[in-house]
Amino acid sequence: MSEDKHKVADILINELQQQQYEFTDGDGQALEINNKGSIGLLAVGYKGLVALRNSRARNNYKNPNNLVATPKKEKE
Amino acid sequence: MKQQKKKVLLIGCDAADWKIIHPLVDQGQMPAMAKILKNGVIGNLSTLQPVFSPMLWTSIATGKRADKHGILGFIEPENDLSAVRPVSSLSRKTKAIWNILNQSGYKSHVIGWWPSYPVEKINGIMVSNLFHKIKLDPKEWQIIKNSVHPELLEIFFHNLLMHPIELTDEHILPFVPNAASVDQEKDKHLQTIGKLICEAANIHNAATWALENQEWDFAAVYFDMIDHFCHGFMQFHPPKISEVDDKQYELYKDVINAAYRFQDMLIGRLVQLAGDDATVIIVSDHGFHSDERRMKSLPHILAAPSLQHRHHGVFAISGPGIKKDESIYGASLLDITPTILSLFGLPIGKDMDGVPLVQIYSTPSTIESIASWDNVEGNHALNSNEDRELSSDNPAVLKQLIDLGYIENMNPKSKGTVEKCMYDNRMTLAKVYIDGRKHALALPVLEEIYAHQPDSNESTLLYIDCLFQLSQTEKASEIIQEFEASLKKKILSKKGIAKINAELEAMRNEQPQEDGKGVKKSQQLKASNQAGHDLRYVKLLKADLLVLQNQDQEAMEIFESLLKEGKLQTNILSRIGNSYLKMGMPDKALVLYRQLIEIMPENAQLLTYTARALMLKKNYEEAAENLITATGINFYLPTSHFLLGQCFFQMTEYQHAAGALEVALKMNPALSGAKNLLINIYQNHLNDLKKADQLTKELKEGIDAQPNDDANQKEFLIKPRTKKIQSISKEDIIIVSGLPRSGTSLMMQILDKSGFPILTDKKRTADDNNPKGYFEFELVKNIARNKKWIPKAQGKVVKIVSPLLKYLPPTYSYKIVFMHRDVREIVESQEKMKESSGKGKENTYPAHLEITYKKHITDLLEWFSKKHNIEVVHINYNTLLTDTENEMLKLKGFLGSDKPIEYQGVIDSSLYRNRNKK
Repeated sequence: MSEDKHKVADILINELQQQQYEFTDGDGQALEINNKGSIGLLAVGYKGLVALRNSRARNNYKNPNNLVATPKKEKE
Repeated sequence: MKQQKKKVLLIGCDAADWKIIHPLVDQGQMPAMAKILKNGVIGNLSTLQPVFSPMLWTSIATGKRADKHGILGFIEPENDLSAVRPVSSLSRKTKAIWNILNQSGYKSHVIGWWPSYPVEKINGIMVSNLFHKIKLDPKEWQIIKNSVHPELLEIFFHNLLMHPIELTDEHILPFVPNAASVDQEKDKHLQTIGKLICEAANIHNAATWALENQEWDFAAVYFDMIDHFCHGFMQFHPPKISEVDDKQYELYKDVINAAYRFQDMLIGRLVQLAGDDATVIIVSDHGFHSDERRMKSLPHILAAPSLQHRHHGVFAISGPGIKKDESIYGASLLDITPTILSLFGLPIGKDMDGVPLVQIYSTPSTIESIASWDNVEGNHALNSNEDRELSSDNPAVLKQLIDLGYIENMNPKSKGTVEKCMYDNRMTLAKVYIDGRKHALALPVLEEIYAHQPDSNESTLLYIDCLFQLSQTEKASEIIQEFEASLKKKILSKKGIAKINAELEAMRNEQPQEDGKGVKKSQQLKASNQAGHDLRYVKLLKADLLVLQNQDQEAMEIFESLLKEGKLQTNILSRIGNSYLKMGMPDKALVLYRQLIEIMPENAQLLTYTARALMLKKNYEEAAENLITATGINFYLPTSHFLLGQCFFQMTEYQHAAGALEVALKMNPALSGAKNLLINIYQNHLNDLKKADQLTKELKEGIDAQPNDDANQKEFLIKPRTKKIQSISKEDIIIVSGLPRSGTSLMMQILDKSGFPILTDKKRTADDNNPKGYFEFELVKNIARNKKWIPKAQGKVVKIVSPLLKYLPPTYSYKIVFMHRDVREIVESQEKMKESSGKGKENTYPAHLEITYKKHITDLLEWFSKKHNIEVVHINYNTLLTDTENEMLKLKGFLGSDKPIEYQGVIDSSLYRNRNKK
């Protein structure tokens, strides 16, 4: 099961990372996707998070907080 | 069973409050809510007591109170009592809305609902309430098993979790514009904000993925963000509280508004993904005090932070077939599940405590009902007891609850912690019963708590109140005396206080402090202060007792002295007002109620009391206005609807009166006064004999009977004592009951002497054990098989021992005089009786019987509460012998007799042999 779960995650994440994202806010104004992120981008949901992470990965951006922690794999 | 394509999105926002939302909507800062307000129906959502979130969110998801759903607090003991654990989905003992929809063929996504861990295997996605929680140290952050269903999505969803280390100032500045000036080493508020932003985003990420990538009919998404922001930052919300530091106020004064703005953005996105064809419901379980009622410090009681919760949450609904731009009054969180069922065209469970909010529909449709969804077979996906192993120790959740102040810091495996948790939850159960007007069920629970924790002020006060409600004045008096004595012991003299203060001052100057000594001293001071306050309350209770004993003058003196003391808490003022009402002094009561309404304009109970005072003054119009406002604030007040029916009746508006009485009876079928008035209206004023007959028939057959007690009726009995008491129906059967040797024969003698017709065959004659006779009817012993004699008992008094009561047919109305006596005395007396007839052994005491009898009495009290056709008065044998006059007054009131109750020459305290011998 654990292997399957990782496989599913890889496929879905990969699919999400391949997409190009453009978002608008409630007033129809384009939302800027930059390395710093924004509350507006968080409100988009999972796509906003992926867009932020994509942008940071593309630009090799390092948050002053030394960001991005991947959760540890479960103990089998 | 799936009938139609329908999408319903339920968004839960813990602690969201119109008092913050409305101004922000007006300023254009919550556009998503503005749209729902414009296109839908909104209103207050009244909460339940006690205001504990896991209990409330489960009531929202089940339509039932906690005594039925089983979630009583934040933690609960393990089955083997080895430790405590956070409440979980396994603790829920009834189906939630998603279980019902699952077995009806609908697909649901449930994200973050509290408590939903471990997840249930529904047809759809379920993400538990533990999934989104952040560990500030990313190294400690790991997947919590059984938090995602289907399990295959577990790793994927964990990849969508966001940690505060991914945040930048762009995320924080909307909450704290001057965040750069915060010294983050000393001031951890920014860290809290980051954590709460991420936790909300984590719920939102899972929810947006589920809504966008999977089919669904129903989705429930729960956010705890606003509640946590309010607990952490409401003290900084304008207007400024004098105790708050100026600099901190300037830094954090906009945090609450920013949290609401962020929540609005999340709602906007979910609504967008749900689509125009979806019905959207926004609810909160309670509000949060944001004005002058904000608490400056929290008392040392169970779940103290919940005292900051306001008693009204929010309700908003929009979608196809829903009215636009309208308000709804009197909605309760119990109504949410029945309303969702009605949206899907599914029947409502009659065992649900809420009702569908039919007022929201543009075109009303028929709503059907079934006895209970819990009895309907199907693939409901409810976790079973076998799933208990899924639940693992969760120290992280316990820590979270401790950090939030909902539970005390503790060792979850200590015996003391387990025991405390057990009694805290019993206390919650008692409060739940009382909130549901089931005092007879609350009483044995409170007795049990009192036996174990006689020093607990909170539970003792509740116990005394409950005894009052059940008219057990003798017992109440006994407990008040014990309580007063224990409080007096806690109060320190002026000298003692000065000494402790001096010692504390000295300790502050010493470095380091002696471990725990200062804390103990402070606690002693606090306990003394609390005892002082509670003593005032005891004074009030004693006055209430005097009122019940018709010693009005003595009671008045106490009330006047309390009022002169000034600075009384609102609950004390309100009780004094009620006592004035009981004494038939509506003008004095009105002065107090009006003062209190100035402070608490949204208190439905106060408005009802005011109405009652106005009714005593025959000002029915104004009384009705108050009652309409009261039921608009909190619909679930059967008393208020009954009074409203009475007002309309007096105003000769019979159609309205009938409507109000129907509502009162739906909420509390045991309101016999309402039944009688309604039948009278249908028969004599609306000329609807069919309805009158149907109502009479339904009541006799027990249709729609719901568990309840007669406590509400007691409130209606509070009227001028000169009012003529209603006479007994000739159809009623008066039963004298109790365990053998509890005083039933004595009661039969009293009623016989008072002229009540007795059903007896006189086959069992007087003997040494009952020298004045037994007054028994032989056929009663065979009631399980032969009920043909029952019509003969109508309009008469018959003795039936308590184990046989369960065989009473439901088609008659009974008035039961139930005799109580110390169970030990009963057993001793029974043994003595056996001994004298040569069937028992001398000096034996069967302890097991004592336990069995106690359980029997507890079960009976519950059984009484579920029977609409039974009214009970509880008479204590011991009290009957020592305070005969008062017990007779109680009996006379209950039987509604114009005749005096004769007891002279019947009550002979020498019969009270066993006790006297001791």
